[in-house]
Amino acid sequence: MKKPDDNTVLIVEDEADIRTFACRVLQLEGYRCLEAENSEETFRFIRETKVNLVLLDLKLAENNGWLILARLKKNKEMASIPVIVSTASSGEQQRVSALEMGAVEYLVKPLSANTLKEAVARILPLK
Amino acid sequence: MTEIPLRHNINMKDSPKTKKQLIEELQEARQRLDALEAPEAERQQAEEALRESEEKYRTLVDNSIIGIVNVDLSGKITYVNKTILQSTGYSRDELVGKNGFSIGLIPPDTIKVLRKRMKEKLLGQPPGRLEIQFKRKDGVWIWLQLRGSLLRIRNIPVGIQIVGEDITEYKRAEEALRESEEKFYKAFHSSPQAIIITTLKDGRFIEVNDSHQRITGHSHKELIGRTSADIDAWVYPGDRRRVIKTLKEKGRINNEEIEFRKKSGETYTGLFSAELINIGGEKCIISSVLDITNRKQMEEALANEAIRRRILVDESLDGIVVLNENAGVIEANQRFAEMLGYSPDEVRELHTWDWDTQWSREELLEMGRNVDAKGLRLETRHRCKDGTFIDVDISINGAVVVGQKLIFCVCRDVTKRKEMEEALRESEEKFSKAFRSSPVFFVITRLSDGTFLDVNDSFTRATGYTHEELIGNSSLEMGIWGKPGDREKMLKLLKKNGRVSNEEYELRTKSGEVRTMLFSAEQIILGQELCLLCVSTDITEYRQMEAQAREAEYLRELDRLRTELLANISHELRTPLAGIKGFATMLLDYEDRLKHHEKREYLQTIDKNTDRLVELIEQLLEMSRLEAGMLSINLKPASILKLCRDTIHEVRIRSTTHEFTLDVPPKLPRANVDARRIRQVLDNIIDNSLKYSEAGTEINLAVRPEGRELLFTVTDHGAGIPPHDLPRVFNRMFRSSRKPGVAGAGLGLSICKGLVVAHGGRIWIESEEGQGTRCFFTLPLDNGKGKPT
Repeated sequence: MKKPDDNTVLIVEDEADIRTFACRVLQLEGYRCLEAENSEETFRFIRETKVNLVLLDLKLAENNGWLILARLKKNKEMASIPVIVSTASSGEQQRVSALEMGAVEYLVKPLSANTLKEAVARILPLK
Repeated sequence: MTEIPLRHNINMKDSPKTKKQLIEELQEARQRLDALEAPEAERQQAEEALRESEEKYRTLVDNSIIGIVNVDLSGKITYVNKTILQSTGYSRDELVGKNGFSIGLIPPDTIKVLRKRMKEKLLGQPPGRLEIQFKRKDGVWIWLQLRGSLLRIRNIPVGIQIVGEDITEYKRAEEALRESEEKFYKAFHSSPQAIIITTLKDGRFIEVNDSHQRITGHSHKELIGRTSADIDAWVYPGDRRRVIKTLKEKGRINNEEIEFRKKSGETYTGLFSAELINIGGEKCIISSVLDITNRKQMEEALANEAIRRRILVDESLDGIVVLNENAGVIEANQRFAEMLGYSPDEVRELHTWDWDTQWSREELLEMGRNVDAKGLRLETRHRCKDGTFIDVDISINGAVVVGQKLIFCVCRDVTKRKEMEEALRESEEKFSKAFRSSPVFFVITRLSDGTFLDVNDSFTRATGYTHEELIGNSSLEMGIWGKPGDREKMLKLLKKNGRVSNEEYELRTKSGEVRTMLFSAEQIILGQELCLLCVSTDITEYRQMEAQAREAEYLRELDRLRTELLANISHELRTPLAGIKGFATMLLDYEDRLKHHEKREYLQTIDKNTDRLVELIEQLLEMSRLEAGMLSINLKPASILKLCRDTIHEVRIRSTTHEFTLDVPPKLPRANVDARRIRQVLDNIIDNSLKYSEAGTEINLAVRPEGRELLFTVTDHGAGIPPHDLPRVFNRMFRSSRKPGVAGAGLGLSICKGLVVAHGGRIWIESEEGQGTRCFFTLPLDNGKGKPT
């Protein structure tokens, strides 16, 4: 088992239901989960806590998801945190853009519990 | 008693005598007077002698050309001679008996000096001269030179005899000399020419002026005492030897150009003049040198100028030929020879008739005789050596130079120009053809009144008028301009920009059809009149195509919006689906590990999301029905009061978090509405208020008649809407940024708007951030006739 600090997933999502879903699934898989609703909360968690992975909804209100991704990847200290983006939009162009900006995985909603856990496990495997 | 013979020479008859002689005689007499002292007899004799002597002496002194004044020891004047009276203008009475020191004829300072001298004189000091100023009776001050000697009687000083000489003239001359010397000094030093005084023997510098320093760079100090050889002043030392030889022979040298060397080593050309002079017994040379290096350079430049002129003639692009009276070539430049194809030598053998083709030999000779300085200009054709011809423009001048009549001709080959002119003519012909046959409309009108002066065939074809119908008539009067005032507008543009480029105007044809023209115009002068050359193209068809293209563009834009909408809808559908899918799979995958209440909670979420999905689909259908104009509105007279009460009642049951209030007048007119649709609108607006305001706050519904309408207002005290969002709230898929996480596809208000408008009403929102939002809509009252759509 990893140390508690090495399995923290920050879930950034403005839909409360989806947040609950992702959080519960990952908890059941053994991850420690943090929930953020907007960019302010996101960066506060990252500054205050050791975050090992970010699960980011790109379609936050006002397109804040994209801004969060850009800021994360531009900041030297945060750039190393892997980011899995999820979105309800299935445009190929968006997928390419997100990967180019530094996302490690692009997931399209609706997500099954299995898709989510496998994607997270690929990036942040648990022993 | 000793006989003292009177010396014969003390005699007036002997005069004129020199001043010196007179004074000596006077002294002698005085000594004799002294000698007559002692024995009475002798004294008697002596006194007699003295008297006699004095008589003679008096005559002598009285008539002396030298002024003589006797004063006693107190300074009282005892005697003045005639000369004094003459030269001062005073009478004897005015002077004798007066004290010389106090009559105010001598400056006070001088009086002090005189008293001192008098004292010295009495103490036996040797005689000295004194120059004093003295005021004449006419007030003019004169200069006197005085010498005094003691007057004694029996060896006792009794007074002083003063011999005075008027030296005013001398003083004036002295002053003049001083001034002259000063002038010379100034002239010497301020002369722009260098002035140098050197010894003849070895060229040692005695004096140099400032200009010399300026020109040569040698300072006064470093030159004086040194020789010209020391400073290597002469570039060619032989020059100095030659100069000295000339000076010795002729005494002077005038304006010779000699090279000198400056301190820097640089040389300069000096215009050298010198004379011999004597200074302190030594023969010297006074020389002046004018630096003419610049003048030399100018002369050289002039020489160059002459060369340049020569080059100009030789290199001129115009042929230049000089003829004699017999029309024979005296001189011709290279170009002239080239023009005709001859060598320069060959040209010199020619006469004008050898090349001119226009006039006979006699005529050419006649022209040569008649041409004068005023000259003439003509065009002719020259025959070249090879038999070809060139067109030439010639200007001819005649002049008599050193007794010989010369004719200067400057010939310009204008063959090229002629060709150009021909080309231009052809081009004009081409233009003319282009004008006639161009598919573009060419029109020339008079600027002042729009009268047609010329039009091309395309224009007549397009307008339907014949050439004859147009020419001479005004475009304005014929109503050819499609819109009245267009010509004025066009003229304004013309005035502002000098031209009109690609402006759209309408043209009315003879049949009354209006065509669109792309019109350009420029001012031209034809004859003496200001005209307009108008070029225009009929773009009616093009504009129609353009309109079609615009429509196509509009359709593409619509398509783009539809795609975007689809993407938005897809997203909105996926969001509740994500909840359903997520929780369903979680329940399946982790059934064993989930607690009972958890399972129940997740199933409720799935249910909720399903409802949301259904609602969304319903909205989308409604939306598309609205857009397609297929939404059915069933207008029936309905009680608005009941409708509002029902709405509030139901929302109170649905949501217990807020305080709902109703504000309606006791009586409201019935209105012709689709009650179900208006309920839908009210529910939607109230739901929005619920979503965006805090629990516990009030949500108010108010209705009141306004004119021929009913005004509905829903007021909340929520977050409000940012000003930049306000214009977009009725757009499809708009969701406010103010509260993330609020469910909804952003279709609600858009649908409300569609429904209200379908009733013939209006809908709008007012909001202030942090204060709350008011949503208004109206429904028409007059017989309830909404616009069934």
